[in-house]
Amino acid sequence: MEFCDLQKIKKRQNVDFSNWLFLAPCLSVLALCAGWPLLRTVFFSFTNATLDHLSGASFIGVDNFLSLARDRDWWKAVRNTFLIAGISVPLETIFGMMVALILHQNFRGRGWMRAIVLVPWTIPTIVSSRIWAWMLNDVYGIINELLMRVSIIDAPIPWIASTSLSITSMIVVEVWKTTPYMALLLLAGLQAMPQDCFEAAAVDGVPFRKIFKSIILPIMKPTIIVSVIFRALDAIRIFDLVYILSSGNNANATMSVYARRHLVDYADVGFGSAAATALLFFIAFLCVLYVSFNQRKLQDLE
Amino acid sequence: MTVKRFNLLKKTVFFAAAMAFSWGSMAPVSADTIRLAYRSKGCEMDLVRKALDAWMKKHNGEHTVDVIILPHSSSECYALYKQWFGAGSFDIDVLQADIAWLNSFSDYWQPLDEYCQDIDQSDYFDVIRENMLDNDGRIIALPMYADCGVMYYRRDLLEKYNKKVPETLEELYETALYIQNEERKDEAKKNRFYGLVYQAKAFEILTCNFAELLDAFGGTIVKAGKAEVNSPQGIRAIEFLVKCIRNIMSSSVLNYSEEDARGMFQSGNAVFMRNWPYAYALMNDPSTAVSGKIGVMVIPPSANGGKESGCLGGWFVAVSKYSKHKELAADLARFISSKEQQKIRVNFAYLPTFKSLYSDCDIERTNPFVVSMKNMLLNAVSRPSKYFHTNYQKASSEIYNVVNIMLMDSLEDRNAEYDPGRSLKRLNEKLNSLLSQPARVPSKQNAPEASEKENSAGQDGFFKSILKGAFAFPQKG
Repeated sequence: MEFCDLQKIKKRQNVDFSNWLFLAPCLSVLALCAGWPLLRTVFFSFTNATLDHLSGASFIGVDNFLSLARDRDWWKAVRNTFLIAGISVPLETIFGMMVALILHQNFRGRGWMRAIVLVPWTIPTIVSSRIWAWMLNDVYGIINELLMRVSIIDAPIPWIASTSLSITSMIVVEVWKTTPYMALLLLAGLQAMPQDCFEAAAVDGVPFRKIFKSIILPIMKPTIIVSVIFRALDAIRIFDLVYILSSGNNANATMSVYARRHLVDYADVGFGSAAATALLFFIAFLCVLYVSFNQRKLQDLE
Repeated sequence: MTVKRFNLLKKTVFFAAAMAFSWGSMAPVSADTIRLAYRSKGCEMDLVRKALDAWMKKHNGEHTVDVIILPHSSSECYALYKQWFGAGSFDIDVLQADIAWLNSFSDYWQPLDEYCQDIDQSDYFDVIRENMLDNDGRIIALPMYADCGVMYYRRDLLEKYNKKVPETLEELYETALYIQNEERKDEAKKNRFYGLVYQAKAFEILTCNFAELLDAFGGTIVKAGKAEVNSPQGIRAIEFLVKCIRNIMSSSVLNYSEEDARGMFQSGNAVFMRNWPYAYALMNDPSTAVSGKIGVMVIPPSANGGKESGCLGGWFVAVSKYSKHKELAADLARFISSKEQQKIRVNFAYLPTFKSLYSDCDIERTNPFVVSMKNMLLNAVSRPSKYFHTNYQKASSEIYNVVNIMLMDSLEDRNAEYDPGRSLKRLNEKLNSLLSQPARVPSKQNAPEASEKENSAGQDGFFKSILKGAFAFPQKG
């Protein structure tokens, strides 16, 4: 008995070692490509480094973070970011759910449909944002043209020129772009669901609304939570869409646009890194908060 | 984690990476390959390649030139240069530089006086010469072409409505409003025809536009080392812009840069357009709606004081202090910025920087448009980059942000926030604080030491120098 156990332990140690061995290439690439730049960014946020004098910089403690906290433009960027994320993520979830439910049905050409639905998500954001910028142009944009043809509006609307409208436009484009992604994640969840509940419900003649509320939602909850976390984290670091669709002023910048401006345009690596680090903390904080909040519920479900 | 441990980590990682990339430095770089960093905007790349062929021919093919293509946007080039120079050593010899930030790199340019003794400096426009010399009066860059903000107008429309070319900004406004209203009677043009098209995107271009408009109203951004935007002229300039955006400009100009504006004007949807001369050749292409119907004039002055204006722009070539072939690099820089080459570029509406070329009879015959630009260059106003030195990007961004937001506020129902007096006052304070801030000049120990760096430049390849930048860490102290 004792002998047996010892061998088992030995065996497990071997497995552990080979596990790490197989993981090593991946981990080292991760460390080099993600870990190292991340550490460096955090490190630089405590210095007064500039783009042309990275090695000549000195430590200045938390000065960068203090002036970041005092900068009104930064808080405006934080507000904009959360506004965009806070509105677009719930909308994406709702629309994504709708699309997923439709695609879950059996109909001809379903395979094609699933592929086509993904198109907005597969176009590089920089390209689709440019296309949207042209479509939303108030002079020769097709959207104003269409709305005017059907007499919904009398005069062209400057969709991407004014602050509040341009944020609305960004949210619309963001929802358009990432709904397919949500739909895909949710569809995977739907397909993993046991079919017998549905069959039983169908036999009993339960209306769809009830099926959705009492069967689909509870079973899908973990999937939905995970998808929402993924999307929310993604939405908080939104960059390319804002960079193209906004007129570039501080009034409708997001956190990552703000960080880029200081890092690259002003060549202020120290301060820009502080902004990037703050963004990282926002993401990490939300991540921890959300996961711990849902931990109990997730465990209950399991 | 301590600095020491970081250094150890840095060394290990750098060693591994340097091994992986050492092919970068082993690539065959013969002693006579010159590397040129150049932008590919418009037809510039084709033109410079032709010039390079001519240069190589001149040297009987002994030397070759590698072109490194730069990003379109001037501010991205600026950031890239910051990184390159920050890495300490790299093997790019000749670099293209924008007039707006040429001076903030003055520590890194090789003074060219010894290679340019036979150049007649008095033949350059004064505003250009000011920028090609550093504070000690040494030549740090050679101008390739000048740029100057101009006002385009539709000759055919002015004739149609029997209006003369406006001589003041107020007159321009009235003419634009009148023609806009008349043209809009045509149902097809109802909501898409505008009096004026402008660039008001929150980018460098808006700083240019604001600088020249302020000048046209008799004001200035910086005067004798003090910011002066919060002046009656400043407020009048902003009020003029607001009047325009409310009545004769599409509000989408808030998101327009040069090419967007050209698109609108070129499709025949505007009477006036502020832009750079490069648009002239492109818009006169027979395929456009306005080909042959365009006139160009200086940005007119305001009726209550001010002067004819236009923001000065232009690109230079400079030689890096780290270059291993300074003499050859200087020769290349001289060649591509020479009178002969500028004369070729004239055909593509790139303005020469030599005054004498404007009275050249060939150019007078083939390009009367360019000749007519001489007066505008003499009236051109510089952006205040030399006052802000390395802080210029920040100053410029303060300016374009405030102007863009003021225009935006003036539009919406957020009129309560629109208060040009208050905004300009705040802008003035910010600019003054940037002016009083000592510009970040490299401390002596980190300043480029030409001789020492030259040796390391000899060993460092392009990739290695970029890697060095990626792993550089601040030392304590």
